[in-house]
Amino acid sequence: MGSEHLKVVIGPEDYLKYPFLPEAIKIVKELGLTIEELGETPLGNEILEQAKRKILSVIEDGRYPVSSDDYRLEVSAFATAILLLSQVGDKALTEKFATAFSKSISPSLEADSRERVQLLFYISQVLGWNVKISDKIYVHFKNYIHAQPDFTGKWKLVNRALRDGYVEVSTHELARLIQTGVKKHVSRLVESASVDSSLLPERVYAVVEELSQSWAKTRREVLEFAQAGYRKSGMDAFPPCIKTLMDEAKSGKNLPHSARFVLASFLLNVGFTVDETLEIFKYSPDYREDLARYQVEHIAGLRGSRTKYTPYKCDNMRSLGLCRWRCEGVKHPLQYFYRALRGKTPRVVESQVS
Amino acid sequence: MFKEYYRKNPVPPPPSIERREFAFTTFSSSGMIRHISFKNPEEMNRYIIERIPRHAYYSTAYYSDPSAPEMEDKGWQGADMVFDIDVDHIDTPCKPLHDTWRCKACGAHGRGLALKCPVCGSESLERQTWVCDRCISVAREEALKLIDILEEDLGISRSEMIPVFSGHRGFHIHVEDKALIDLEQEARREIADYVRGLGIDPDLYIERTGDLYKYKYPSTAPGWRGRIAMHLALRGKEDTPLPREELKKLIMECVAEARANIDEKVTMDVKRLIRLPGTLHGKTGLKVLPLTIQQLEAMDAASIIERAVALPDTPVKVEMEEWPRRVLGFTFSEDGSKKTVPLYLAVYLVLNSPTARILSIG
Repeated sequence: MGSEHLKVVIGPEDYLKYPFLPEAIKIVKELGLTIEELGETPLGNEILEQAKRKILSVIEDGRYPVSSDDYRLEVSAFATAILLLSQVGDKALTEKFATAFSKSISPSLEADSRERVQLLFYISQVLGWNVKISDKIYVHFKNYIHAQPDFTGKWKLVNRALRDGYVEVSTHELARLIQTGVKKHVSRLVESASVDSSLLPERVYAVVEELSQSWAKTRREVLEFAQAGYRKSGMDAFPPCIKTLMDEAKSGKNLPHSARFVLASFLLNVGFTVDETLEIFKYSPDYREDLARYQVEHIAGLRGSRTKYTPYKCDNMRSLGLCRWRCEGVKHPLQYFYRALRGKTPRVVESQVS
Repeated sequence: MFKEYYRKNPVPPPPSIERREFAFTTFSSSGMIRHISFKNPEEMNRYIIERIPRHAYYSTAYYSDPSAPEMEDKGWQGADMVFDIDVDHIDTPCKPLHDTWRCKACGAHGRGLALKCPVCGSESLERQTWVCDRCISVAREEALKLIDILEEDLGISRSEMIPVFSGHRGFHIHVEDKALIDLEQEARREIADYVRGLGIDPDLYIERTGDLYKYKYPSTAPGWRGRIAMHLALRGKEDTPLPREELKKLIMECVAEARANIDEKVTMDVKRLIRLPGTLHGKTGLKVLPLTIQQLEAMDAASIIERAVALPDTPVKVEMEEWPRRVLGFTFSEDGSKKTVPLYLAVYLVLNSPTARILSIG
């Protein structure tokens, strides 16, 4: 990369827009604010309150609000939100927060891609990317696939100009890639934040509790919504891939492991119990209650790593040969289900197999 | 005989041997011994000589604690990228010569590749498959296409790609590029889709010209754009305006020719066990043979098999119910159930067919 591209002046407005930049975080450190002060001093309370409001807003309507025009306050609130999320320790919430945050910076990235493209290069470096610029912009495929916003059509790697490991992109596309890159960066910040929870002041701990409860309640409501929806509309709200697998399972077809995983994880996520899920698999020619129960309980998060699994994304379904449809605007089988329940059943096209 | 081989031929260690999980099956029991780890190559070779494995595998993944019995406790640190080319998934012209199937549901039987019973539709088939030089020749072509895509498009250097003859029906291409070992499953799927040409949207490759459509890119364009153009040129169709659907169909035919036919599940899996190069394949007695790309390019299928032969060629008399018409480089007539063959082939016949019996040696 030519050094002239590296010359980028960043100032307080940039910290306000991009509070994850190392320079921004450094400024919070320079303020000398400690965790102990978060629950104690007036400024500490203000920051804690704003951080809490950011996360609650994400839980309630999926939006990350910028709450202050004082960059020091805003960056501190962002950093504190990261800390709170690491204490709540729920991957799904972290993901939701990271998604909302990255969406919130999208207009800024978009504007900077037109006016200050060197800032975009700088952010890509913060993300650790390998980006080359001559008369065009080239992103190493490893970074490209890490940040691809979509896995079909013009974004799919196979449809890109790729040579010697580098993908050619436009400035607009670079902005879009960075948005996804930032989302993953924020998730990583949460995962790598390590604070001994015994050091947390009482008030911070209370906020962590409050957030955990609010999140648990939302998740419960989603599951209840799904269960009620299934009782009402049955398989009508299932995407075509799952309907097909259901039919195949019930007709006694011997499904491959990947198909069983998808079906079981889907059913568990729309509110089936382990026993109800097992019912579907009883027709399988090699059905063994003990083995099947073990596997379904594992997928339900009752065993092993205690992770509750969700079905594969649509792209993976396609790669595994479990999907031959295009459902408009849908990237995940569960997304189809929730949309259908809200009366917005996605349009489905059966595509040719390539 | 495997013992004799391992005494004389120490198995080369995979890179970072201490961070790999090993797994073996033996001749004496049916299960797989897993979660084995070795500190150094000597320890690994001692184990192999003592146990004489029938099949030997190692993890493409690197772990901080490779011998931990639970996958979650192993501490995954990354994985080599591996591509699997196996003619089990590819219909080769030689399959009717040596592959047979029998339907467990209705008893129908036949020759060649069958995914399900053509009589009753059941997928529960018993297969007897054999490998011959023609299978390996098809697999080799696929491997060369793959290597070309990895090198030209993904920029992976030839020295970091190790093609390995699997000892059976194909090749494994191990990519030992340190920059790629931390790729997630999602990213590996995108790479697998790339080399398979999966997800190509032909509408993105064409433009209108008058009432018809033509292909947009020259053969010098990067990636699939140029690759498709080259295949169109081979058909003399690179500049021909065509009706839209016809051109799209033609593009997809070019993709089908140019794609590398890999088993995507192997590439996507970041916790996969793969055959250990330098060991013997327990179904064929052939060596799992690491090659350089230059060797793969220069050798034909017959010489690859020849080099993978690890056991002696002493003449042996074998009896068998149904002989494959072609196996390794040998052609057999179907008449007569007793034939004299080299020992290494006799071992393959016995390992792979329940009806084969060695009658006498020498």
